[in-house]
Amino acid sequence: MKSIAHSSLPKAVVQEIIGIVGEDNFSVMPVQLTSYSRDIWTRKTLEMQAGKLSEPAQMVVWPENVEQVQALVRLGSENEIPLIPLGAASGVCGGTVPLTGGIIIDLKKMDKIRKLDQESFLVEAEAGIIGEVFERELNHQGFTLGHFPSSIYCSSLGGWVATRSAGQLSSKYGKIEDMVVSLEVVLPDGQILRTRTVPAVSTNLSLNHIFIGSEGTLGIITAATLRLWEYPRARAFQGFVFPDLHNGLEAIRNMMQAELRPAVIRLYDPVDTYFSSQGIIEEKPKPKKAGLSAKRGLIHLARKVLPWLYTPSLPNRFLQSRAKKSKLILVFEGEPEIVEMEHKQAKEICLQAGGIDTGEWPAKNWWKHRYKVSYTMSKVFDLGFFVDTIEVATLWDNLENLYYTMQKAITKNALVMAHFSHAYPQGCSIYFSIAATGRTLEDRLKRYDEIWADALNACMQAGGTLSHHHGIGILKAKWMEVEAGGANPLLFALKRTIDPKGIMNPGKLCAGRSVFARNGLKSPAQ
Amino acid sequence: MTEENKIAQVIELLVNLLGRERVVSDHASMVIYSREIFMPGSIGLSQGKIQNLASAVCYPETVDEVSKIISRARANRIPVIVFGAGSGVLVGTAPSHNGIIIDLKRMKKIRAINRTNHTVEVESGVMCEDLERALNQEGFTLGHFPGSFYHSTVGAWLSTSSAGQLSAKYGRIKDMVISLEGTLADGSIFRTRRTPRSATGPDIDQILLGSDATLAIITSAVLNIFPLPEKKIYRGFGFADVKSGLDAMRELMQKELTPAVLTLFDPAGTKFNQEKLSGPSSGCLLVVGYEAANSELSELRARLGFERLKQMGGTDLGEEPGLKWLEHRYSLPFNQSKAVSQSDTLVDTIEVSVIWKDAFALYEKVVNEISKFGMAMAHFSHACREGVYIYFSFAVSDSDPEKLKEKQQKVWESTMESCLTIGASVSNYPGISLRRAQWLKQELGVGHELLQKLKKEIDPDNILNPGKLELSQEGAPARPSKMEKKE
Amino acid sequence: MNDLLKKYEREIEYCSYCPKLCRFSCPVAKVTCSEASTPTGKMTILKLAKDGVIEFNAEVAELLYQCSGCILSRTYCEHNIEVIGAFEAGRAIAVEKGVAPKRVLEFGTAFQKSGNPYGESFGKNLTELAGKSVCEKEKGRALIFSGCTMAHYFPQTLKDLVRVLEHLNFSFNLLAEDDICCGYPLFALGLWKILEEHKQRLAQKITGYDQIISVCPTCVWFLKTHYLKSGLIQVGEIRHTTEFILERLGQLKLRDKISERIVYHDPCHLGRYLGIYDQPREILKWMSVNGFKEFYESRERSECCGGGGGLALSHPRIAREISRHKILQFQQLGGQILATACPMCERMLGRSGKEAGIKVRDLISLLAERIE
Repeated sequence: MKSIAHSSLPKAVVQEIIGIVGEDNFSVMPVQLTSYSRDIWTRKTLEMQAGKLSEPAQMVVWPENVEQVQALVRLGSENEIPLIPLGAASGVCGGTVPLTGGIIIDLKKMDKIRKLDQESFLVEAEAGIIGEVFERELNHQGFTLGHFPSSIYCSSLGGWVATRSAGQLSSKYGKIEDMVVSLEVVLPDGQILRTRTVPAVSTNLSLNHIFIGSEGTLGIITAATLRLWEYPRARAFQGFVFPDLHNGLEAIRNMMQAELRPAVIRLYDPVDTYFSSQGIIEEKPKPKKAGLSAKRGLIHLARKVLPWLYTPSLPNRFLQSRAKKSKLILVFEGEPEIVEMEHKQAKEICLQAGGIDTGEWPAKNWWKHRYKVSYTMSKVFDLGFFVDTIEVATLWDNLENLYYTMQKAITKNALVMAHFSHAYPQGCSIYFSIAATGRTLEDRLKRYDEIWADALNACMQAGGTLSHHHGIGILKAKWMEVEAGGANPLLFALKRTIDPKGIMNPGKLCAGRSVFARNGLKSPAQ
Repeated sequence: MTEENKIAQVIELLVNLLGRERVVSDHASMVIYSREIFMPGSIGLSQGKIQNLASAVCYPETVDEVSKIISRARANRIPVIVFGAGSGVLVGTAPSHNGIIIDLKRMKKIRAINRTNHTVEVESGVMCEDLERALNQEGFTLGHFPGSFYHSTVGAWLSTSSAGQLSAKYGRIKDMVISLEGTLADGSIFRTRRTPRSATGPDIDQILLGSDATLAIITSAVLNIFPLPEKKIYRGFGFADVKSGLDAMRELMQKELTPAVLTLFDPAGTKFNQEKLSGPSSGCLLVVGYEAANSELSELRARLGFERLKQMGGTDLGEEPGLKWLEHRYSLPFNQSKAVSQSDTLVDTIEVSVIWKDAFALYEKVVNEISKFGMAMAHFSHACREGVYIYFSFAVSDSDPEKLKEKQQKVWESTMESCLTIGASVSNYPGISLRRAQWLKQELGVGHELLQKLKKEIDPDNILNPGKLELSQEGAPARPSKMEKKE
Repeated sequence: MNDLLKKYEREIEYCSYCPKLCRFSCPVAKVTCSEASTPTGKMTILKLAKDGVIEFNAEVAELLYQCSGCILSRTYCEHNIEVIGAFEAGRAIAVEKGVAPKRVLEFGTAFQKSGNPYGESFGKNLTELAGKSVCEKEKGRALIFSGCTMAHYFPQTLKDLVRVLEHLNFSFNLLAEDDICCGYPLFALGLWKILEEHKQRLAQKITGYDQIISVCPTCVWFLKTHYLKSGLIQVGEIRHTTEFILERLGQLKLRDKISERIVYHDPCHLGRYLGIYDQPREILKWMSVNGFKEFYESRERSECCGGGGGLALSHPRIAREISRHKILQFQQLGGQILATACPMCERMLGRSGKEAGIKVRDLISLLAERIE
């Protein structure tokens, strides 16, 4: 039985840290460090499943205010210790996974709502607040942030800003960068940057945008001021089915370009539509008792047998040829009369695009279980498979090209389905879900890497963007050069300017021999 | 090497790259360009020679040419000033006279209007007015912009447009730009991804747009376009005072009844423009305008909006003020009025952005302060959910030009002071020298330092548009007032 | 080890692969702010220990005790997983291996000596309190089971209950024994061997009644699931006082009704464990002039006081912080009386509320002081 090996920090440093945050707010216990050695990146889950643990960080600290964060950052900078800011570790790209030891700075003790300006519809909150807690508190006061990532139960405000998250209702309420008015950031040199809380002014914009999406590589976001919406007074649901994907996409495009702003606009590709109408994906949860050991035997059998039978191209081809129809879900919310009119106009547009009205129920049902899809992960992993999601985006006239190109690239290695959401007048995002397996851990990891490489290479070639809202982390860092289209020198200049020592979350966002990777240390995970 | 040799070398370099017809270096052109670029006052006549002249102006037509020019300039440590892709005016240390001016006006293609994507790909040298016309012909528009927009290029607008310039409907810069093409200050060419949005690190487009052409030259952009609105529903409402007018504006913005135009004139402004706009004889005029391609939805919003305004104490003044505003909106400010075009009067505007909570308090304070020195009026516009822009127009008079300048100075300083105390922001900075501006440093502080360091990192020899981000001797950042609409 | 955990293999697996969707609701995770304390974090460590990837040592054990047993996570979990069973089994393993926290092992030893968590001579004390007439009479049809916590912290409430029952002309025995603890603390803390011995002893004293009524929902639940279900005792039914009282509201007359602002706190064991949400509410409504207020999260979503799961013993500071959070909410709501229906909740919230001068009362005592 292994115990977790980690190199400890110098005694003097530890003493200083205790001086900053107190005895209760740091830990070097193996059990704690192990818990912080992974996020929700599928690759890490596969490793954990097979009993392979990653090298942990050297310490976790829980600062309680921005002054403590400042002192910690100064200490890290002086001693050249990697620092990893962390919210709720719900990222799917390895963004908070320690690659070179260091100190994890867990922001969750900074979780207050500092100020709610009801007149200006602004709220200032600390980075460590968990999404659902935040949203509920705002609801009590009659507001909504309008930000509902499917990780809202398990992600933090700081994490949202650092990764450029987008929620399920972004077509109406916008994405995180639309919500941020100002930020409080501790820079790697220990200074605190507080951008101004004023309606958008251009210098403010660029300062905010340096840190929105910086994924912990340029500083630690400790608080943000966000603009709010009134809690919606009405909500409407609508489902449609289209004879094929193309018509469905036309309908979405026309809706967005007709200036409608549905809160939710979600078109399922034929494979996903096929699954959900068979009731395979959307089964209702049945109360289950613990201790069904007989069934466990079957699961164990399945785990052993299925990898040998797994040839994704067959079911993929079958599904892709049989499944034709495309399901659309719409949800409107806001001012009652506007909701009514948008609903009416949307129906007209969909009918015109050849859609069949399926009434309220599909959308209402989706709404009720909208976070449920994340639960299917457990079932799939339990069976010995793995799932992941690949989300990209592009402009309308390239959308189907991107979709089919990527589908083709993924098809030989994994079961693949997709839905289209986060729609804009100019384009749309595509959200692929993939499932695959392998006989051994090595086999599974190899296949995993292949799927991603094929998918992202295809994406880059087809002119799509690497990620619409999950971010880069470790997983996609390799492709950042292509994605940046020649603007990488600016990114590197930002890093060299702001974090010349390269202590902030090394190994993330950009790969290669740059200050992002930190000199002398291993490149991000192979 | 002598000065003449250096100049000659520079010109040769450019001619080799672009050909003789696209390089200009005659004295007269240099004077004209230099006057356009360098702050009045920083060019002087000294011993019969005009100082701070650039050596040559060149007209690249592709991003590759721009890149080559920048790269060569860097290699030879020659400063480059870009014209038509930046605010175009410099304060502070002007480059020595062997600098190059890049004029982007030859990059004037509208490359593509994409009806499927509702985007347009356009080069920086295109005049905004020409672009708008071309779009209109296809049934599209770029969105609403103030008067000054129409006399500048797309490049200039992208680099300097503060977010508030755009109307409440069409949004801010981030809503406009899909992708940018250009060269960084180190000469490397970039073309950012054509995507409506991504989560791939810090948003390069937004960072460049806010940096006023100090980090990169934008040579073309892919921008959002909107279908032309069919109908314009404009109306005027009277409010008893500024406070109730502001509450009404806020209500519309926060309750999703967002109009395309929402402008409130304070009593002085209302009175001043009463004839032109057929506004009320007392109190405040609120001009509300709804227009959208989706006319059914727009009409619904208009109906709900107008109802709400009445509920909040607004008197319905009918269409006329709205329509008249549309007609006269560019001729409203002080400086366009014949009444104040005397030589002993100086008119100026200060643009402030403030959150709703502080808006009235700020307005009251500033107007009271200005009144000590001269006449003031204000209007409020470019509202959003969290706040609004206040445009203070003031006029000061004095027969002594020195005292006149002093008064102008005092008005600026007291306004800055109020802004700082209350927590609002001045979005344009004076090009005139000011006494050491502690308040500006305070306001920008750490952030400004960061941007300066970034500039140094990507442009260590300070080749591209030098002097832009540096503070002038008096401590004011080198950002001049917006390009005024020329008569 | 594997025998005890095999039953929970599905739970452990599913939890470990989950993106921690319930974590926002875990009261312990809210206090510690550690990823390890989330239900997923704890289950993952348990999985790694079960699979032999890490050693099942004192550190692992200590983490498994970081749970108040509130099962609020179950409300949000769409796998419908109850992590609590896995934790309880894990703790039993920890005790067996001798790596459970020292405080826990010491508690077990002390319990064995006195038969209850407090080392108190309940037999003697309760008889004195309530009188021989209800404690030392022939075995009747109904038994009132106070449980150790009420008897120790709120004997007055017990006295009040006795008064109410006598007022109702209800015939009952009151259990007055040193072994008055139902055994839940032993179960929650993993001291299962000691629990078995204790159960045998207690079963003899409580079997044979038509009904057992308890003021303590923990006792109701534990007696039901660990004594009645397994056939260890023969009893008609086991009920909470609120169920019993509600049936008899018509027989009671109040001198006056409560006019202060009441906020009702759902005890985890009464609500999520037993499904009793409406009965206490009915009683409160009946007792008050203006009704009562709910906490922002109530019923299935009600937040814990920190008192269950043995947490108050194994991690007293975390437990206290959890109850403080509830008190803060109470203050935000502008409440004047925090009403509940569980002695442990009354104890935890009362202690944290004391600093802020907040009145925390059990329904029974609120009722008793107003009966004519």
